[in-house]
Amino acid sequence: MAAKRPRLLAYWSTQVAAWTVYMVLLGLPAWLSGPYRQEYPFVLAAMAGIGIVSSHVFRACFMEWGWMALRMDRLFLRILLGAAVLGTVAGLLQAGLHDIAFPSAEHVLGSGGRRLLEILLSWMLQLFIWAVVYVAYHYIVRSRLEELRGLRVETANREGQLANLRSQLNPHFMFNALNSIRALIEEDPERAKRSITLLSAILRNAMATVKRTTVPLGEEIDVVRSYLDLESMRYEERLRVRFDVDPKLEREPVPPMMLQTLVENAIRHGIARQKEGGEVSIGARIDDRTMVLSVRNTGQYSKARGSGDGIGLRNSRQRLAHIYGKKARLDIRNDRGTVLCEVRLPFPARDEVDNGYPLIPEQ
Amino acid sequence: MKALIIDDERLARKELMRMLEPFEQIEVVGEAANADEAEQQIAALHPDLLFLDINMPGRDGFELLEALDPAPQVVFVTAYDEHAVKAFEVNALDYLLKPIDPARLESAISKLSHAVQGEGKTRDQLGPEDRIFLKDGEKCWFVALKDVRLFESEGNYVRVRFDVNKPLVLRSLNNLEKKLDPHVFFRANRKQMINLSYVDKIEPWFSGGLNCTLTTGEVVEVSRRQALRFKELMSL
Repeated sequence: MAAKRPRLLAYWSTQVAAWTVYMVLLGLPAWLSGPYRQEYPFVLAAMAGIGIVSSHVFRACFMEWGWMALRMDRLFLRILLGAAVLGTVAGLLQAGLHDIAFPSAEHVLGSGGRRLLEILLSWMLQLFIWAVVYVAYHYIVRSRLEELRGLRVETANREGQLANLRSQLNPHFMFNALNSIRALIEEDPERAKRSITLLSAILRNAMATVKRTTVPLGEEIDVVRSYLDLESMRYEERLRVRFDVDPKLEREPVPPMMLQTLVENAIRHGIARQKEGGEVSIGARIDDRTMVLSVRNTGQYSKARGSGDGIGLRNSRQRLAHIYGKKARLDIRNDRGTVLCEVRLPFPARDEVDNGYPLIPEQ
Repeated sequence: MKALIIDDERLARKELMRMLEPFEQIEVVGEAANADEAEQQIAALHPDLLFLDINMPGRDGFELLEALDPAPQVVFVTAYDEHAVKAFEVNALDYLLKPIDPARLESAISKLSHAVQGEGKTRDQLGPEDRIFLKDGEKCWFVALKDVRLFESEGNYVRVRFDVNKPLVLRSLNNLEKKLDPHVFFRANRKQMINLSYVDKIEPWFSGGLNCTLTTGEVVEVSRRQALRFKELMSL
């Protein structure tokens, strides 16, 4: 612990300086009003010493019994108790010193009563204030540290989101789309324009997605449609598309870009590999208390072959686990000559999502 | 030069064809949407140059090349394929990224060798100048046959030794032997075929065989059955 030594130094210098200044201020009125007396420096040192020692013991209590970890009310009780006990000890110490150092003066301990009580109460109050300052300081430091940790977590999140964004902006798709658009500029300028609009919609959506945990299914379907429109430009008659989405589900929250990722997978591993192309059908339905999103494509799924699809599926599964815990799952399997990928989400989702992940976070 | 464009996207083929229009030395003789079509076209048209997309349904661009002996000159065209691009960069093969930058296209074309393959020449047998395409894992090579000193059979694969490289490719030694010029490549034994121009030293070996040392120090045993033929060849 390299930070310990300078912190300890700071503690002691603060203690000495604060108690000394405090005691000087306390004694100032008496000092100014009367003639200077030789014992003043001694009294000052003694008082400051009592303050330093008693508050140091107080600090030891804080550390030994881990008071800083306690709840506010419990901490308060202990501070009161500690101030009472230590204040009594410190007060008695002061009174004792007074009696020893100034035998000629009025005895505090022997005479009992008001004077002693005053001293005890003032020490209790001083130590209580000391403790409050101590606690406040630690709260500030801790909140700073927490802020820092929060920032770090946020940075990590951002990096994750960026990686996510990069994977969502599937470069193979992007560059092929741009290439096709360039060909269309001469062949069919109107279609080229439309394609640029579609591509912009996809880009915009991918950027916006970074900020959101879920989006309404209807929005996600729109993106998938744009994406498939663009892919049709590339694959032409080789790509056939079907949608079968329950209109009731339009407003249901789903993780953004998830359906999109699955559709991309279906194209990349299904359609793109078949010379004759094939069909992709996208579905969304309610099944008991789950919402089932499905992507079906012509082709054959085999685990061994998928080099790229493994990543897509793994990412999707991770995201599902992150948002829904164990209440969602993703399955992929061969089904009557097609590959069927199904995502099951809790329905209705509103009360099922794990705490801490707002469904539609504030922008 | 006769060129063939191979890409599964019609628009991509069309765009490339348009971009090639200003280059008078390039004559696009055909286009193919997949490896099978490409093979037919190549057999029919004998192009000198292929513009080849890597990602295609069925066999990909690399697999097509592996099936071609000899391989024509090739400019790879790909949208984005980290693995392919890495392979190109390792061996300095020319590739274009889609959408194609006209300046890059021009420089790729200027780098092509202008040795035009003979019109209608029968391509049954490969000469020493002919190149074959080899791919092993992430690496790929175009290698002229004159640079290959040794083919070695390893199960269903053949190890091809040239320079310091020794890629393992899925081919059969018997098929290779049929295509190669017997005056250049000699089947020393069941498992090995040597390039005769790399032979350094020959010594008699047990039971009528020969021991043949290559210029690189590799020793190849010539079986008794082949030894006679070998002596005939070398005495010419």
